[in-house]
Amino acid sequence: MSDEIWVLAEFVGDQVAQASSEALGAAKRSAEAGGRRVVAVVLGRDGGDPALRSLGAADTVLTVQDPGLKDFSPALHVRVLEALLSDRKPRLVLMGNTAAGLELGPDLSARLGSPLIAYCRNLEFSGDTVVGTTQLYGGKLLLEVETAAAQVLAMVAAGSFPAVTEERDVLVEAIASPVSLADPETVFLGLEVAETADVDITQADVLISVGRGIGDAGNISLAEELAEALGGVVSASRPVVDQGWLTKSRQVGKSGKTVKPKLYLAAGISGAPEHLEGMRDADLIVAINTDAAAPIFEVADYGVVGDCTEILPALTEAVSSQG
Amino acid sequence: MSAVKAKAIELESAIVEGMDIGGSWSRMLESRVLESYDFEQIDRLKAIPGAESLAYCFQCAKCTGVCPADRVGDFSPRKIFRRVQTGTNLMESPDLWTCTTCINCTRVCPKEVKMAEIMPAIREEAVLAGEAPAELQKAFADTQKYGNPMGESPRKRADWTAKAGVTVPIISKEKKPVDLLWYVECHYSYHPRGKDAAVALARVLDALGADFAILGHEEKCAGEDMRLGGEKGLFELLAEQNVATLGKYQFQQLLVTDPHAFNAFRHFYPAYGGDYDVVHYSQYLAPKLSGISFPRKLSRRVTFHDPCYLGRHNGEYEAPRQVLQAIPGIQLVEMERCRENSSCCGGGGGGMYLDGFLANFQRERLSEVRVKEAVATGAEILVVACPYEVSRFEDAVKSTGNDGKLKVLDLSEILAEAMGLLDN
Amino acid sequence: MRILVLTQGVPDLVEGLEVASDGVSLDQDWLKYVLNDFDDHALEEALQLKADGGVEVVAVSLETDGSRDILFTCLAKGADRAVLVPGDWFGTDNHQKAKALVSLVKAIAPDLVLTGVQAPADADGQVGVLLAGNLRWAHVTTVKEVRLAEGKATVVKELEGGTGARYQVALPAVLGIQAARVPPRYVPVSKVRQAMKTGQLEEMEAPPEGDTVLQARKLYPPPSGERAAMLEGDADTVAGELVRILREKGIGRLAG
Ligand SMILES: Cc1cc2nc3c(=O)[nH]c(=O)nc-3n(C[C@H](O)[C@H](O)[C@H](O)COP(=O)(O)OP(=O)(O)OC[C@H]3O[C@@H](n4cnc5c(N)ncnc54)[C@H](O)[C@@H]3O)c2cc1C
Repeated sequence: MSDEIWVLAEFVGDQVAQASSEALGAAKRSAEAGGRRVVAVVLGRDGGDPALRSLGAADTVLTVQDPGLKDFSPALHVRVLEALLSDRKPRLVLMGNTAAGLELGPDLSARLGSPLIAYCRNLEFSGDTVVGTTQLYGGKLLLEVETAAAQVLAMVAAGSFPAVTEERDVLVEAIASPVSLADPETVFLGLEVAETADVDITQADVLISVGRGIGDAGNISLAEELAEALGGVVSASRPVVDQGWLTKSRQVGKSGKTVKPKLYLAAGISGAPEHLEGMRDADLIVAINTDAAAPIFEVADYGVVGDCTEILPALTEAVSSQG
Repeated sequence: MSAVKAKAIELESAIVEGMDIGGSWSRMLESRVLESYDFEQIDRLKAIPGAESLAYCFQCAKCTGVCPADRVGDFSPRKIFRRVQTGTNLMESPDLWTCTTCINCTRVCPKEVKMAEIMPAIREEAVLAGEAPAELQKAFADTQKYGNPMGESPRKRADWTAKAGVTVPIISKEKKPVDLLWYVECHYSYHPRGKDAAVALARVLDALGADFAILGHEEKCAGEDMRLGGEKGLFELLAEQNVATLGKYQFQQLLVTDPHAFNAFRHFYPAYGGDYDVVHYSQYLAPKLSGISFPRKLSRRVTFHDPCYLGRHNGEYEAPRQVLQAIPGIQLVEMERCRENSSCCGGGGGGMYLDGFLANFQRERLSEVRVKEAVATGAEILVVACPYEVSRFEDAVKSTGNDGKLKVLDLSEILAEAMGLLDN
Repeated sequence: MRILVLTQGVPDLVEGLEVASDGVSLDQDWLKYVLNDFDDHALEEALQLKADGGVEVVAVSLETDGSRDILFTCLAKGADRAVLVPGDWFGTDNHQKAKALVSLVKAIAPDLVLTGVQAPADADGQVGVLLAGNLRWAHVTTVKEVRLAEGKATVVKELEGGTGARYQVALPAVLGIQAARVPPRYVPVSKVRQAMKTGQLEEMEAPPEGDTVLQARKLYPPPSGERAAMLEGDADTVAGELVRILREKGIGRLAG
């Protein structure tokens, strides 16, 4: 059996993506426990590309140099990886549970007959068996699974493993594409220009939501600044909309929009049932409220008892200083 | 203009359903051409079974004077008729969703234009065409999926009983007939303030030694708002399911907390095979209170809001007042609009699920108008007997800046308080 | 052009989920099955494409409790055909489902398969992409927009942070739908009941294939408090702590 653990690396610009750093973290843990090697696999970058330095956490880097692979194309990336995986047979193949990972993991698994652990929260070897934990039902349950297959794929869920980053000149193996890239079934046409039209709070991943506790119209900017820093938008409870501080399109709740963002930060919102109806399914709920007994804390994952006009700017500051 | 005087075509006296609609007091003239209108829209509407009476309107404007929606916007049955007459397509107009079916108009209408029949009939067409406002559709979808319009877990329907502090038997576990099967309904089961009222009523029933039980998770929304909102299919589905569930158990009376459900059970469930001796909780309680001694005096000035579906729709104005008057110390003051002329809270007929939609067309919420009336009486407590109202009015107390001036309590809460049942 | 919409009944998340006594599966006593939310979006997108013209929509559902209702709902919403795949598919893993569907999909011969980007219990990967892999068809998932022209699909795939990437996709293909271009329509119960009276469900066999490759060891709820974990300290301390948490969860700009 191969002793290689592969990480399918993604980049944001010229930096390794957070999801891939976390996959590297997972890979390193499994590698250390069993004397295995971590190989970061890159598609579409030149062997001399300085961006590969950001994969220093891996033992080596394997890059398929063909520039036609630089933009992600599900069909082409699967073609190349299927060839590489069946040729070199790495023991474990990790990728982020990302927009790209969601294309690669199941397709490769189906083609190669290698089991896939999706939404992987934990992973370890127990002898020759791979034991993984996957998250089900929106996190309401966890399932521990095992497989003794010779090759196992896993899509690593965000935030489950410590991100490992190291900048260094890492040993790079640069190869040409092992398969023809002609006539791709999926062709990348380009990125969408972000629409500047009216916000759609139901589409936002991050909502900074303000309630009556924000005090006055002038303080809305505190939420806007945080939203800006985090890459989110501002939403509100009904009284804020009633006051005309924000438009109706921003209202969350029974008579507003139902939202399901990755982060819902409720500032100065008490948590009335009509409000909860619109946001209780958010992945992560953080509440800031001066009243420790506010019902919003019953649905929140994290709570802060405090004045939102102080906490919001402090948070903006802390986010911005992360660079 | 023609100088010929129009000839009266109505009889001097004509009795229809016991009411004199004769020309002696309602003088209907043969049609004279004043201006010709396109009848297409009105013809289309009056062809919808149930909506015929819209076409009876002869523009007297009695309804406009009593329509609560006209106080906060520009709406009344007469105005609908007029707009339709001048070409408005009601299917595409917010007017279709403005009426709360409070039927204060029907009370004064000389022509028996019946909004509580017209609205669901016409709305049904809009619902079938996918034209209902999104909020209302969400309530339909949640009710269809979960049996309640809030999208709460059906399994948690009886969770409130954990806080009751008294035994609230679930009938499926009782395995014996009961006197009273209490139909708790959605808002009393799930809304935090509704649950407070349910707990209070459970304690009162327990203290009165009533032989009662609830359906627990088997209970589903009675569907009255779905019916009035135009989702007739959903109402029928719920009615069939609820009738089947109720059919499994033996009970003397169906005790209903929500006046909307009360109305549905009294007037619409029989058509689906559900014929019960239905009683609203105020009606159940009123005759029971003479014998009991209250441990305390509640020296409070209170006012009472008549729920449309208990009062105008079902003629019950006395029972809740009798309950209040039985409580020592209570001073009941009436709002300017009370009893038959009670002003709607805005929640009925689907209004609970149109708050955001209607905000675009109304200056104020009906609940806010009503809270101001209550404050004007100098009352400390606004007592209600419908589960929509605690949430609506408490919210309106805040939004009208009357926080701290007026408390909103369910009839069961104030009674339980006076009986000393809310101390733990 | 024929679009197959693959739908699944999934346990309703509004219900509290409980682990069965075997320790590896869900207690089915209380389970209520509803149409997977994302599949509803897939159906809506298919119906939007139908409205654009020249498209036949075939809804397919693997049988679970409630799947007949789901299919009649699809018909009421505007699907042209509804196909039930009989069997007890609950507990069958997605690899088995995808394999079983291969011959069925070939028999229906669609140009495009649309299905939800994910389902609540995709332990071994999403069924749509697995199906594409088995069929050796092209796929794009996390899709939020689909247009058809000249025998090809142009789709917008949503990337991290919400940016859209545009792809041209050769047909036949499988698309995992994240969001339809408009919210899924509500279909009045009267219409569903009408469909139940007049509509027809076709039945097509597709027995599960292959063994489960991931052995379940333990199903359990994550350890968590009922209420929020409260963060203490002054504004800056709390802010620092929150940022750490958000980073860890890969939220927004802090995702890397
Ligand atoms: C039919 C109907 C439909 C409705 N639809 C909606 C809807 O769609 N959406 C909606 O939101 N509401 C809706 N409501 C209103 C709802 O009932 C509540 O009134 C509303 O959600 C309360 O908003 P809030 O939490 O901002 O205000 P409040 O309930 O007044 O809460 C303000 C909170 O801010 C806290 N606070 C005060 N100062 C500070 C500070 N400096 N820092 C931090 N915290 C502070 C307070 O402790 C309090 O908890 C509806 C009501 C009805 C009846």
